[in-house]
Amino acid sequence: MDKSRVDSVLTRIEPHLPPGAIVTDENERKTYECDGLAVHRTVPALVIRVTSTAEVAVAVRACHEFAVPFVARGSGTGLSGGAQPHAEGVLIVMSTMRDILDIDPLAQRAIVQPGVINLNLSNEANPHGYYFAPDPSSQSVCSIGGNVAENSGGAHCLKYGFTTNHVTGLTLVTAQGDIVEIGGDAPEYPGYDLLGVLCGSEGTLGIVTEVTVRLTRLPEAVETLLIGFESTDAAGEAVSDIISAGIMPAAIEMMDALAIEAAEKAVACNYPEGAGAVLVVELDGPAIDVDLERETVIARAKDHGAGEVRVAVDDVERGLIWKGRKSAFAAVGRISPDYIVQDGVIPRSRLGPVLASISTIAEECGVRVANVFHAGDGNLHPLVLFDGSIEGQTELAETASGRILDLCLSEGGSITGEHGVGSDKAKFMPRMFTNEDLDTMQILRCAFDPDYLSNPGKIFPTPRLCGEPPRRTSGEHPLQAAGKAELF
Amino acid sequence: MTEELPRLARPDSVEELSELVAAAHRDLRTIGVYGGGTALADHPPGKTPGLLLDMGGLNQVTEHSPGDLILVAGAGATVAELTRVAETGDQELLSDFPADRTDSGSTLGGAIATRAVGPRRIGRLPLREVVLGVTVVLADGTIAKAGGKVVKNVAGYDLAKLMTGSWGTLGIIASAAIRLYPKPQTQGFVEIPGAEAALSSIGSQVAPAAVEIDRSPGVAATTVVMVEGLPESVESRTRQIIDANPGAMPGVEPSWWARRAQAPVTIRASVSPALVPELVGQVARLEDAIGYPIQLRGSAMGVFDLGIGDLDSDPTIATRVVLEHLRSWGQKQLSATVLCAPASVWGEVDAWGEIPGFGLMTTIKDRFDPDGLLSPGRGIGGL
Repeated sequence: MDKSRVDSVLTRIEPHLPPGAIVTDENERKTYECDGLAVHRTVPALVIRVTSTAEVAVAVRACHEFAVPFVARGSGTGLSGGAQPHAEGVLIVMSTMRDILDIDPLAQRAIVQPGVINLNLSNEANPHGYYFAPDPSSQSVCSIGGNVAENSGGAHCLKYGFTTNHVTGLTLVTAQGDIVEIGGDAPEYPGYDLLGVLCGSEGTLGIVTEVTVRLTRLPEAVETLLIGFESTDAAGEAVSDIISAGIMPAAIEMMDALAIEAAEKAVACNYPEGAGAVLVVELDGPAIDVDLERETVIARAKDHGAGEVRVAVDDVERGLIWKGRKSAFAAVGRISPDYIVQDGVIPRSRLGPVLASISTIAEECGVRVANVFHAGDGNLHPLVLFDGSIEGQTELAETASGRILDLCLSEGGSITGEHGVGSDKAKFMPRMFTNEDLDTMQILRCAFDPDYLSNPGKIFPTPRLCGEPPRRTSGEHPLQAAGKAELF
Repeated sequence: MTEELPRLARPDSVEELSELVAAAHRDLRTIGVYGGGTALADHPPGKTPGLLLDMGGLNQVTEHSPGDLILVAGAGATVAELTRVAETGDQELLSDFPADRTDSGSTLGGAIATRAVGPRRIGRLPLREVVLGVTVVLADGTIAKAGGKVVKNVAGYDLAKLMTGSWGTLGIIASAAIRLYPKPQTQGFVEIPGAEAALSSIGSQVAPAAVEIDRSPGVAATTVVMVEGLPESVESRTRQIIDANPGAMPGVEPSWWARRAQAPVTIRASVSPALVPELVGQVARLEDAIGYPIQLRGSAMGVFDLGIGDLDSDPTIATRVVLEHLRSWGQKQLSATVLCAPASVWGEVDAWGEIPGFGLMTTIKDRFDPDGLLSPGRGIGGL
């Protein structure tokens, strides 16, 4: 390892950062070795805890000067290894930038530092009648900067859109350490959609140090239903019918029998006993709409043999219904020592056949698969359960997991709906995209980070060198420019 | 090779489009793209291209799956035709497109490239989120796709968003997958005098689909709130809006709905929603001060078109004054650019102002199209 370059960075930034901001102690650095995907671990060469845009710029400029890679980390809850550190690089910890700078209900805007916890913003905005719509299951711990990096969704994104739909401005520290303001309070700015490409770029195009977000009006009414079905097939058909009835629920989530069993053991959410599948359906909007839609949802569910239908009467009951769903990943830990979460997406109408194929894959690989997913948009979260202490099980689980992603792709879907590619799924990118597609994405990366220092090794399996920045010519043929020829 | 390449071509497939672009690239010919021709008068006119591509041949609907809320079609398919296809499944194209352009044959690729928008901006996903994936042909003829055809996907960079609103300067959109939305059963309109009600309407619990403000020169502004959904709901919410706003009257869709006012110059102004009443007031005062008619129309969410001038006089000076005045608010709160103007005006005013992130945009353009062949001069800031 080229320690001298990291030392050069250290010497350069030390005078500009407060004591305690720089972490060199190996044991302390080790606490940052992974994010929410614990199977990928790397101890960073240096850790910096930043508190301002200026400090980030100082750190990145030094990294750029000495060609040292850097990785930004928010709360470290990501599930694809996006914040996995670089062994010869600097880990820039953003969770120390956690101030809500402004909430302006009239403008429906808030300005936050990237380390602000997702749910804290909603809690602060609630008294004004507003909330921050993206709600990944980790919302009580994940940061808004991380949401921007991953373009996080959550249960409610079918109706309200991903994080990208809720960001109107950003402060970006570029991979060269320059500070650039993009967008602002207004809904539209002219030119290329830089906000659109930065959201979901997984920290590979620079570091976001301030975010202007759109706040969403709290709905007049919210109704949460828990519906038990005999099978995932029946539940899937009910979802199809609800959507073709013209209803756009705020969320429709499905869990299969194994996922229900796990959730029950973990949080005693009291889901219908013996159900082969449950749907959590949330309706929101004007009270009159919610009333009308609830009746349609129940009727369509009954058409497909729905058993128990439970309507939450208050926030406590609503909380309990959601608790089962939102704790499902962690709950699976109760019924299996190890598990892999996948995040593939399929066209929603293919749910039945795909679930059947997943159970065939599970059988063939000798593993169990619990299914929790966003049924409205076809975003599956198969949980492949295994015991890593038994020889060969890890490999079998990985095989099953890979085959599930291949299955999603063969249905015209995606390898990731909301968790991001990170280091975990980079190897699957060539299965979804051609070399030309991937090279085109690299053109964008080269525009932002030609030296390949910002979170390298993520998203793309084989990064390309960017080459010299092209010099723009006039677009005219030299002869034409000289007035010697006319183009026809 | 040069003599084999025509000046005007109408490819029938992505492959053919790719070959044409590759040939133009070898000859360093500039390329213009023609969809429905409904935005040709917008943005600077640009020079006559070395190759003009008529996208009309790429108009097939390749996939329509109402159950998955998706539709995939060639860039040359018209918005009107796609609306008809979506309606067969009781659905609609999620984004509103400007009605005047749709009526004149606006295409899917053109609407995406120019980021065309209509009034329904509240509670709806914007065009950039509705475009799930695109296939583009790059400046050297490379065929590349980005995104996908499922409603949820975060694999790789979102180049579909980069292409949305790029005015054909980064790549030529060959096809796109878009998300559909259930078609609301009914719509209701309420007309409210003045612009003061606009702000409270967008934040109100009646969940309007659109709140539009229209102000003709010398006349007081009118706010029109539109709600949509099930008939009982629309009726009830319409009543709520009328009860909450003095002078409010039930109405029908106004004749100007989703249509741009005709004026020699159109400025696109985008402001923080909190500043909308201030903007409307300022426009009236500016009109008085400079003695020049200014039409204002747009969404209370903060996107307006300002029509400057009448047919009898040169709008250059008025355009310059309005732009300078609006920009004095600061770019954090407001952006103002010229959308449409006579050729003479473009050179005489600062049409773009200071664009946040312009340095990065220039680098992106240089990386994607180093020879500057794609739609030269048609993008913002001369990109």
